[in-house]
Amino acid sequence: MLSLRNILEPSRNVFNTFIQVRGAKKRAVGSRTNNKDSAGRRLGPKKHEGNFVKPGEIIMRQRGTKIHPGDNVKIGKDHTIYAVEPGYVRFYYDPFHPLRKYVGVALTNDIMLPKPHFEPRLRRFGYVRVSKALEAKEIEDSMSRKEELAQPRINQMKEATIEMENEFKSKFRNYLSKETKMNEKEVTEASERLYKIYQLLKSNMSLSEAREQCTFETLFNMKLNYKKGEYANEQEYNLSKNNYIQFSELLDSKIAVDFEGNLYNSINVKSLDKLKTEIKSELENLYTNEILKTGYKSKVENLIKTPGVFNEDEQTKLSYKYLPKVIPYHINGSITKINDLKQVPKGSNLKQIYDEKSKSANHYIIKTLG
Amino acid sequence: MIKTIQNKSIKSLGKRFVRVWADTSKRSSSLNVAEDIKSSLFNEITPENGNGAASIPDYESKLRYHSPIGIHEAFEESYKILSEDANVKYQQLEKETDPKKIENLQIEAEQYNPEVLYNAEFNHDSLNKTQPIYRQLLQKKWQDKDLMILMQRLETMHVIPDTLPTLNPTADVKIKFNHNTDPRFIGWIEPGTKLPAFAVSQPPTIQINDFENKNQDELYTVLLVNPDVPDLHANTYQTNLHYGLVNISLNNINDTIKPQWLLNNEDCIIQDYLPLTPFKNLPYQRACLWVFKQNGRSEVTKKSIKSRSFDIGKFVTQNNLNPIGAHLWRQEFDRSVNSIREMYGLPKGEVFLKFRHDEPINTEFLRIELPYKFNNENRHKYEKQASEIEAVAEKEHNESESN
Amino acid sequence: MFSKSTILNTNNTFKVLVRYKRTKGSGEVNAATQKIVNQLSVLSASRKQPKLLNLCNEDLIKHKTIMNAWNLFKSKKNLKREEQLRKQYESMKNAMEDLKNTNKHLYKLANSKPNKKEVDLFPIEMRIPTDYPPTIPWIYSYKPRK
Repeated sequence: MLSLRNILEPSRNVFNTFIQVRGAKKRAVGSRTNNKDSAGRRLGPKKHEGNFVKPGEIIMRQRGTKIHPGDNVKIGKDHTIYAVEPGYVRFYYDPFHPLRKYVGVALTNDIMLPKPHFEPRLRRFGYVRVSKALEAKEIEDSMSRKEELAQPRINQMKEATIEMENEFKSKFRNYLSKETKMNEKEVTEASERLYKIYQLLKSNMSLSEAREQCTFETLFNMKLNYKKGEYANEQEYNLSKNNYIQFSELLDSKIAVDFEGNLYNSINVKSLDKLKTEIKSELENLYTNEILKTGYKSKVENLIKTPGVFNEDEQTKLSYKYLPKVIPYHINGSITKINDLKQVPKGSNLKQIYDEKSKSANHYIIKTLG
Repeated sequence: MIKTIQNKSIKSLGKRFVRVWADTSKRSSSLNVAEDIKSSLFNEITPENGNGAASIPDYESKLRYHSPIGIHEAFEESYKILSEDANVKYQQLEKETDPKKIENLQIEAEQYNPEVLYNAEFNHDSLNKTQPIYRQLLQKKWQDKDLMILMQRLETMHVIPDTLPTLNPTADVKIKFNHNTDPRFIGWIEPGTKLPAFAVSQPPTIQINDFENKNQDELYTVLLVNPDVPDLHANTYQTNLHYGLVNISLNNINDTIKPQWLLNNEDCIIQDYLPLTPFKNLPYQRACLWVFKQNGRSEVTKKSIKSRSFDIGKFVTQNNLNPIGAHLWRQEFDRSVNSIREMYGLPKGEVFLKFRHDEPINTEFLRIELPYKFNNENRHKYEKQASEIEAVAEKEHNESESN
Repeated sequence: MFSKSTILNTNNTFKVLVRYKRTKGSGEVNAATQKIVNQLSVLSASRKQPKLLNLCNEDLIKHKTIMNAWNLFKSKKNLKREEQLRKQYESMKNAMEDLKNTNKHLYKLANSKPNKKEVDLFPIEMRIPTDYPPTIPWIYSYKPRK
């Protein structure tokens, strides 16, 4: 019977009468093409299982990754595997890649590789401590080229911040000595606190949070100082702690600072909410009734910048809403249509506005806030 | 003119269908958006009539923006379909008694509410986490991005398995350092960021959100360990505990550990905060923050932690802790390290040479027991495998020579 | 000649439309314009992809809501259809069970393939019904499988 199997297997093939003849594709001797045999590349392992290696010693030379790099070794651009830690060579399989063969370096003579997957790595430290104080100082102060080049800029920035800090603090000090009956020491302490609060307010913190943070920082530093032994005993530490808390509460109830560094008399939480709603309704009222009148802009600006009422975000939001660059076109009287371009009065703000309904663009005179 | 538009509000949606999502008597007010957003969400956006998109602050940008044609009409129809579906869910909710099913129904009833979606998308910092729908949406958001970043950092920086074997995070752990005024270090820290010593000079604020409904306060443990402290005797590294908190009780609303709060609750602190102070010329150190859920109150106190040197694995098994989240940052030596050491009353920092020597590990002083040592059983099998692989390596040599 | 061209008779004038090899499409332009078109089509590749829709926050949520409603509508429709199919299958199964209990012979007959010589049924295996007509509308030489 003729089945596929019988045809495919030459021994069973009924028509198995042909003989394969292969011709020589290369000439036997003296050919131009056959004499290009290179010298051996000296591949293969250079270190064997259990051999001790030092960092940088080559363990294996190969074409492609016949063996993969394992623990404490690295692979070069021609796939040469070399040690990076001193230790003992290990050839092993890793269950994570069952088809790969690995070579690694075990840090001690008695451990296997690979380490179990969930065990912490065994790492060699290998750095030398500098014991001489003078030498240590020199090394510590040494800078990288990048750091050295950045020094003038860093110093400049430092100076600028210190200058700004002093400026603000002296401003606060003047205000406090004029407006309150604090003594010299209290004024310094208060100005430090207010400056810190101002800095925190600039980084989007609310006033109450900033105050809390400032108190915490001072108390935390006091605690550290107490641990260092700067206070004679625990009583003295507790006393100064309580003093500061009292002082900060008193200061907070009287004076506050806003995100621009302006000082003002503190407003309590209840009246603040009331004030906020009042100002907002007043703004709304001005916007609907007086937007076209002169003097609107300064009135609204003053309301928005009422000290201590709105934070930075709220102020920007309100000024977007109530102080637009141009008076919104849908408000009656904000724009006047121009039919003849020659008759436009000098100095007026002219703009082409496209009308969706009539599908045409006309010239208008636009009013800005007065 | 503006007032008339605002008054129009949701009336345009018709009278016949039930507006479950507008009802505030049964639902939390946190499920609604602010009034100005609401008016531009439920009305057509027509900036030329002064009814521009509320989310665009600037008037001129409002004018420039045009909604896709017909989006509002399609939205109105969709809103009807979805709120009718939600109405069915709310009716089922009234009959349901099983708390698990109630939570699922609460999620299903609000999952398509455009106002909820708006809040979750654009106001995600101030969501009310007592609402199951917000917890669900926050969890989805966390799984889509922050979880993946965290796992990548934990693995590539070898926090696992160097500190604990592994982690399957179920809680979103965020940290920030509130004392900073430098804009680069304000706000939540991304896992793995390199921070200078002055930016971490005071204890961090830690937020733990495990997306579960917490009817009562639950207890948490927080440990900050540094696995990169030089151990000069053994010529290796050791792990130190830099901050330890136990019995921290948190719930859905108070989910943040503020250092201010700890000033008055000193018994929660088992180890005072100490910032990492790396040494000159050494590689970076990792500050690994682990968060655990406790099974009941912990009895560990400050006195039971005797030294900074710490075995975190042992501590976790002894106290039966369940790891739920982690975070890390890295530190190198910088110019502020010395001042921070002074602030915390530490001695002057050590200095190391830039290059390493070849001295091997000193096994005599090794603090850990290596579980993967040779013994009579495994040595034979191991050697057989090794010779097999070496034969392959030799083959490479033979082939290269015969070419 | 008539086989290759058509003659139109309009207002007693004969227009002879000769059919020959097509050289120009209806919307083609002259060579110089075509060259510019080609150059532009290479240069401004970014214009070929649709412009990214820039939606404001509210419109983004509106868009999401529309998609949610559409998905909900589709899933409800699918559920309804699945339910109907399930019911159909159930009733068919019940009818057969009933038949099996009442008369085994009829049951066997109902389940057997009809003998083609006796009953000339429409072969349902011939073509699966589709929404649009196939390119070959009818196979005249069709013979049922044996």
